[in-house]
Amino acid sequence: MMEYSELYLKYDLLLPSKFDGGYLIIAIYEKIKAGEIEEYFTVKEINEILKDISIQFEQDSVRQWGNIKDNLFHYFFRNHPDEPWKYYLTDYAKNVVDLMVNKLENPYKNHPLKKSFEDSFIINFDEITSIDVLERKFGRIFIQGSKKIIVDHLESLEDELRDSYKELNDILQKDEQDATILVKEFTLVFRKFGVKAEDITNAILSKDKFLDNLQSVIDVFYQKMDKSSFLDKTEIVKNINDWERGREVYADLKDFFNSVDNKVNIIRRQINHASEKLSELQEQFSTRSHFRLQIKKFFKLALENTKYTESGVIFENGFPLKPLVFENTSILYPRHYDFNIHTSNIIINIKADENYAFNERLKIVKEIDNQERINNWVAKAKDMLQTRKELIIDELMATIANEEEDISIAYQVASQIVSYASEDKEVVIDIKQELISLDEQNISLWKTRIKK
Amino acid sequence: MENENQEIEDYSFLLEDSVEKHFADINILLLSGKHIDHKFYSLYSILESYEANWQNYYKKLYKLNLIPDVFDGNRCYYLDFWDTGKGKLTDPGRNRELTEMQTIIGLMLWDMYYQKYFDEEKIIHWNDIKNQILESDHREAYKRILFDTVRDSYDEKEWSAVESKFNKTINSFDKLGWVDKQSTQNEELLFEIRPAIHRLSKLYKEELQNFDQFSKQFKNGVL
Repeated sequence: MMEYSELYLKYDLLLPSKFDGGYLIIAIYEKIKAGEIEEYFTVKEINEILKDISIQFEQDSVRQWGNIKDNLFHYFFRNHPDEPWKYYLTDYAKNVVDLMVNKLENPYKNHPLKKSFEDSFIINFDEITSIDVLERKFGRIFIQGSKKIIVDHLESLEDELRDSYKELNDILQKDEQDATILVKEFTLVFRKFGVKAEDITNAILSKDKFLDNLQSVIDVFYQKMDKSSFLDKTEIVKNINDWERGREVYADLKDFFNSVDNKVNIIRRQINHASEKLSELQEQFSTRSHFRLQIKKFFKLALENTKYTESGVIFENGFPLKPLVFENTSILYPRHYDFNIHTSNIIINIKADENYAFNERLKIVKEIDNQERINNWVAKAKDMLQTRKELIIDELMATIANEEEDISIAYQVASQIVSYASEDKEVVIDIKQELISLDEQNISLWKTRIKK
Repeated sequence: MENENQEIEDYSFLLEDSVEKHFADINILLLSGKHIDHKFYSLYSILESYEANWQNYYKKLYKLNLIPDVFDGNRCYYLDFWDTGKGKLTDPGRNRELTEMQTIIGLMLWDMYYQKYFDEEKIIHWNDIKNQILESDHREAYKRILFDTVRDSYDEKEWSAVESKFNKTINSFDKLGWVDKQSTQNEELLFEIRPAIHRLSKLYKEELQNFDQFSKQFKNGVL
C-alpha cells in the first residue's frame, strides 16, 4: 500500500493550480479534441494558449512556459521521441481532464440505471459451462469494472437529485404570487423524480432477476457435487471445490448488491419524501402560500420592532410575547463533599462467648473420638477377616450400630473395609443381590461377603 | 387504542406496565414544555396508545390541555393552557414567556425550515445561520439587532458573541423539542429543525389570522 504522505508531497505536481498549468492542460486537451492543434504540439502553440488564458482570465501578466515547464514534465507533458521540439499530453493528463468532465457532465444522466445493470449483470443459463467461466465473468476481480459503473451511476443519481431538491427549495422561496406558475415550475423539476424512481424500481427488478439466475447456476454446481458419491475421489474433491468457488462468487455479488440496495433505499426515501411534500403543497397551495406570506410579513414586522441589547434583543412598542408551559422539575441538593475530618478508631473488645467455645470444642472432641472408634473397628474387622477368613458386612454393621449406637460409624467402617477388600487381590468380595435391612436402622444393603 | 369519544373518568391506565415504566419521563418532559414527536418513539407511542386517558389526566389534575397536533404532516404532543387560564401552572415559576430572542430566532428557523422544505431532515450548521445573517433578505435587520451596527463583515469576537446568543436559544429549543441539537457546548452549532417549530405560528395564530388588523393597530400604538 502506498503511503498517502507522498500525495501531500507531490500534490502540486499531480494537480497543478490554475495558472501553473491547470488551465493550460485543459485548453490544450480542448483544442486537440476540436482539431485546432495536432496531437503533437509546439512551444509556439503553448505560448499562444498561455497568452489567451491570461487575457480571458484578466491576468496582469502572461505565465511563462519556461517557469512552469519543469513541474509539468513530471506527469503531464512528454517530448515527441522523434521530434523532440514537439510535445504531447500524457494519458494521465487526459484522464484527469476526462474525470473532471465526467463529474460535471454526468454521463449517466440520460442513461437509465436499469440499462447499466443489464449491460453489466446479465447471465445466460447456458453460457456458464464451468466454474472457470463463471469466475472469469463474475469473479471478484473480473467484475470490478461493472461494479464501478453501478456505483458511479448511483453517485451521479444522488448528485442530480441533490441539485433538484435545491431547485425545488429555491422555487418555494420565490415571492411568486401566482400558484399555477409555481406549481408548473415544480412539476417540471419533479418529472425527473418520477422517471428516476421508475428507473430505480426497474433496475432493482433486473438485479433481483440476475441474482436468481446466478443462484440457479450455483445450484447446478451443488447438484453436481451432491450426486458425485459414485465418482472417484479427485472428481469428488473437484466438484466440492467448484461449488465452493461458485458460492464465493455469489456471496461477493450478494454483498455488493446489498450495499447497492442501501444506497437505493436512501435515494428512494428522499424521492418519496419530496414527492409527499410536493403533493401536500399542491393540495393546499393557495392557503399555504397565503399563510407563508402572512408569516413573512409578521416576521418582518417583528424584526422592525426589535432592538439590539448586550445580552440579546428586546421588542419595542409592546410587540406581544407568548407564554409556554414550563415547570422545571429538579431537586436541589448539596453536593457530597469529603471534609477530611478524621474520626479515631475505637477498638471494641468483644468478650469471649464461653458457651459457644465450649460447644465447638465438644464437637471437635466428638469428631476425633468418632475417628478413633472407626479406626478401632476397622482394625478389629481386619483381624476378624484374618482369623475367620470371612466377614459378612450386614452383620458387622449391625454389631457396630448396636454397640456404638451410631449408624454413621458402622457405615464408615463398612465402606473402609469394602475399599480395603477391593484393593487387596487376596480378598474377594461377593455381593448377592439380596436386600438386607438393618434392624432399627434406616439403611439397606446388598448381602455382601468378604472372603480371604 | 382508546376510543376518543369515550368519557374517561379514572386513572387506571397509570397501572399499565408501559405507562408505569415511562410515566415520569413523559410527565416531566411535557410539563417542561417538550413537544414529543415520533423522534421520541417509545414515549410518543405510549401517549398515542392512551391519548384520551392522558388528556383526562392533565385536564383534571393540572387543568392543562394535552394537544395532539400535526405540524407539516408530523404528529406530536404538547401541553398548552386552556383559554380560561394557566391552570395549576399559574404560579410564575411554572410558566414563562418566550423571550424576544427566542421569538426572533424561532421565526428565523421557521423561515429556514421552508428553505429546506424538500429535504427530509432540515440540518442547520452555524455557517447556514451566518449566511442568513449576511446574505438573506432580512440581512439589514439581522445585522442591526444582532451586532448593533450594519457592516459588510464582522470580526471573530463579534461573531462569537452572536454565536453564544444562538447557542443559548438553540439549547432552550432543544428542550422544547423544536430542534434536535447535535453539537455539544464546545462544538460549532449543528442541529436539525423539527416540524414542531411550527408551534410558533400557532402561538401567534390570532395575530396571523387577522394580520392586517394587527399590523394596523400595532402601528397606531393601540396594542
